[in-house]
Parts: sequence; structure tokens; C-alpha cells
Amino acid sequence: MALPDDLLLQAFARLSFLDIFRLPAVCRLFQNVLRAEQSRTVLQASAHLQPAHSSLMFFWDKGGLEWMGYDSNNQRWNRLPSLRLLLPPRTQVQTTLKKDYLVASTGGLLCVDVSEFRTAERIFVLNPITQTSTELPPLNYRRGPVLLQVIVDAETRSYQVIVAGSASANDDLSRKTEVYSSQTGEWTVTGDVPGPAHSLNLFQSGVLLHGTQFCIVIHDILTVIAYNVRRGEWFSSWRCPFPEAYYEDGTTSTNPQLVRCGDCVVLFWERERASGRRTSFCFATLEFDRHGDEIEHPRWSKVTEHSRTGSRGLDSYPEFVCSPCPADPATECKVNVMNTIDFRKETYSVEYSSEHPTQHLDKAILKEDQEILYTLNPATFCFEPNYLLLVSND
Amino acid sequence: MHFQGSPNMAEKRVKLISSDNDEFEVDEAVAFESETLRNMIQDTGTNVPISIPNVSSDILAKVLEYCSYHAETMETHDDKPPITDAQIREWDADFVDVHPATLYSLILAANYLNIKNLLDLICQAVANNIRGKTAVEIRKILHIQDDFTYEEEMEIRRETKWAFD
Repeated sequence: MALPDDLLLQAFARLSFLDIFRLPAVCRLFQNVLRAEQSRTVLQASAHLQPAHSSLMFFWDKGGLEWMGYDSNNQRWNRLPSLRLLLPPRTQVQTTLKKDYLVASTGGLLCVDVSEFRTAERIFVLNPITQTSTELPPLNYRRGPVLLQVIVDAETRSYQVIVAGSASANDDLSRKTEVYSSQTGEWTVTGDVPGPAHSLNLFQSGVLLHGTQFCIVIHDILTVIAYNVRRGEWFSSWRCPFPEAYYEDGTTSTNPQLVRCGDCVVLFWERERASGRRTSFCFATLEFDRHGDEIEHPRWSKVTEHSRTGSRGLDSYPEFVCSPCPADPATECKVNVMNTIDFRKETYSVEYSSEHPTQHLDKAILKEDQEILYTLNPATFCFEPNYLLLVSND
Repeated sequence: MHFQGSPNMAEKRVKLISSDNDEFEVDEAVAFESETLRNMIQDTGTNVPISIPNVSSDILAKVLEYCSYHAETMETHDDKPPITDAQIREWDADFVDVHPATLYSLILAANYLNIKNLLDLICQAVANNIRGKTAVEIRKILHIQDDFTYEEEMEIRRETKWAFD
């Protein structure tokens, strides 16, 4: 009663990656069908059934790293493909505040700096869907970068990794920017971060949009700067200081995060008013003109504010992490803000202010023997499954 | 065995012969739901019965029931309201609510006869049957033998444990 492989695969391609991961355990035939090279193309074609997951949460489970994310299409938390076999096992018992690892993700790849010593990075690139991973060679300047981003080129199935800044005290290293290419297998030192030394000292993955990488630096005041990936240099004169609303009298602003929302770069932050200690989340959209490779005239669109109950989040984690809400149509930019301590997640519109907190959705709950890992940078990105990318040492 | 297609005398009729030598007669429009039959009819005409050597009569009857219903949904009648999409979906859902063995035979037939909508419908039904299920449940639903050794089973469980938590 066996079906030909291609018909079986046509049925499988209608399932989410979670279901597909369960299939090899059924029988040898299923296992062989799913391991076949051509299967990956068929499965990738069903991308609409492979929802992006936001509000990513990492945790330790019996010494291995696991994670989960929120599927906005089906409004539920899902376990994501285990990272246990793709990263080195945990060696230390506990880090300060359970906080470790710098992470970034785009196009289905995850990039993680797992180093225990912040000055000597160990960077891995992995595809959880294909369960492949590789450790990148050491940087030319070993220094524990603070900015980490991965870029996927779907056409050539290649990737690049951008790192910049430094966790070390060395002024010179603090401006270094390097790019790894999977095609050459090497790190290339590119143009330095503009501005004063150590201006880039906020752990982040920033936002990658159409070949431009945006990130937050401190030039006297908080500022967004941008890097041209193709040219391998920072835009020297393009900078966008935070909106005036960030510094509004009688308010304290904290925890700024850049989030990519469709084709927009959105700035999120927490605000607390001195009077009555009222708290809110604020959003501003970064606007600029693009001429080919050039970007000009940075400015902020109007700021939206969402009142909320409760006190300001802790600075140390950060308690609140903002990430794109992938299920919503492009007509309205929405983001998920998750509380990484009580795991409550709320959805906000970036474009409209609101007086009342919006929906409280399901909580993600860890089991007793599972221990959360707070990443050094807020996980301000989504994970989009990709069956085509194989990442390996050979 | 004779299959009752819509009795439109102006239509050309097509004779089909199943693997177990049963003869079916349907309207050309019904046969045309199948890309394979359409090509054959265009090559050889409707005078000669078309033999379908790898589809048994019970499965062919099911397939023709599907083709006949879907050919009918394309027709417009002055005296009847048109069939709604919701009605079609309901009919389709009933149609694929059959034993997995029948579903498997139907997929093979739909594939051979190249009836894209039917193939889509059944693949979706198979997917729906196994969505959210464990390996053990899937084996039961699809009547599949567990052909792993104990060691292999343990290895797979270790690798995919996260997906079942």
C-alpha cells in the first residue's frame, strides 16, 4: 500500500515544519523521502505553511540549548527545532543573570556567539531546519563583538555575517567591523565604525533592510547609524539622532531596540512619566530616501505611545523584547512585545497610539527543569524556516 | 456496472474500462476532468473504449463520482441555483472521508489520470490526517508497519524529542 515518494512528499509539503520533523520517526520510507535532496525544494515551496516565529525564547534543557517562538498565524507558542546538536554543550553552571550569547537571525539562519569570555568570540552559524551548523574561523581582531548580523542570499544559497564593535576596552578595536563570507570562508576587515571610540556598545543585531544594516550607537546622544553591506563601509555622514520624544521633559526613556517591521525600521523604547510613574511603550518609524546604494535625509515619523500597566522593566535583561509580528498584512505594522520574565506577550500597532493595553495572548511556560537563557542582545527578529540552506564545514 | 453521468444527449459519451474489465460510460465533459483522458480522447476519439489498466473498478467509480460532481458544478442551470463553494467544500470533505487504503488508491489513480484538483484534495486530506500526531498515531492512522530496530527507534527519539514535547 506504499505510495510513490513524490506523492507522499506532496502530502508532507502541506504540513508545518513541526509536523514534518515528526515524520522520520514513523517508518523508513518516510525517513528516506524526507532525506532526499529534492525534497527540500518541495518543502520550501510550501513556505506559507512554515510560519515565521517571533518573541523567540531560548532555554537550557538537560544541558542542551532549546528554543521556542510565537506563531502569530496560529496564535500559539511552538517549540522550534532543537539547537542541542548544533552548538557546543553548556560548560558553565550559571552565568550572571543567566545572561549569555549574542544572537541574530535572518532568512532561516541563526548566528550565535557562544564565547564564555567576552573578548574571544566563538561564532556559529546554523540552520535549525536542516540541522546543520558550522563554527566560523576566529576574527582578524579577536575582541567579542557587540553587533552581530547574518545575511542570507537565497539565490546563491550563501550567507555573510557582519560583526562590529567590541566588548574589550581597547579603543582601536571598538571601531573594527568585519564581514564573513561563506563563499570565501574568510573574515574581511571593512571600514571602521564612525564616531568616537566605544560608540557602539549596546549588544544588538540591529536591522538589515535591502543591503543596509542599521544599528544604535551613542554619539553624545543615542543615534542610529547605517552600514552599506555591498560596499563594506559605514555611511560616514548619515546619522539619525533619536527623536526628541525620547528625551521629553518629565519622562525617562530606556531599553531602545531597532526592529524590522515589513519594509520599515522601527525604534521601540520604554517610557516612564515622573508624575504618577505611568509607563508606556513608544514607537517611531525611521524614514529616509534611497537612491540606489545611497540613503539620505534620515528622519522619524510621528511617535506612537501605548499606555500600559505595571512598572518600568528591568534594564539588566532587558525585561521587554520587541520583535516583528509576521502574520499581519503589510498595511499595518504590528510588533510583539514580550515580557521575558513572566512570558506575557502583547501585540501593538506601530502606527496608532492606544490608551489601553492590547490583547494578552497565551503565555509560554517553561517546565521546572528548564532554565531560561537571556541572550545578551534582545532577540528583536523572527525565525523563518528555510529548507534549502545547508550550513556545514565541508 | 454502468456509471450514471448527467443524461445530456447532446454530449458525446466515453467508454472506460477498468483494470478488472468493468465498463463505465460517462459524458465527455466528465472524462475531460482528467488531463490524461482528455489527451487520449483527443488522440483516439470516443468510438473506442479507453482501457485504464491500473485503476480497479471500485476506485474508478469513486474517481468518476468526483469528476462527475465537479463537471456538474461547472454547468449552469436556469431552474437550479448554482452550487456554492461552501457546498463543494463540504462534498469534497465527505468524499475523502474514507479508509486510508482507499485514499492511497485514489491518490495513485488521481496521479495517473492527472486530475490536479483531486490530487490536491487527497494530499490535503492525508496531511490533515497526520497533522499534530505522534509517530505511533500516524502509523495507526495510515496502517504503516514500524520497521525500525529498537536501537534506531531510540536514536530517532533522541533526535526528535523536542518535536514531541
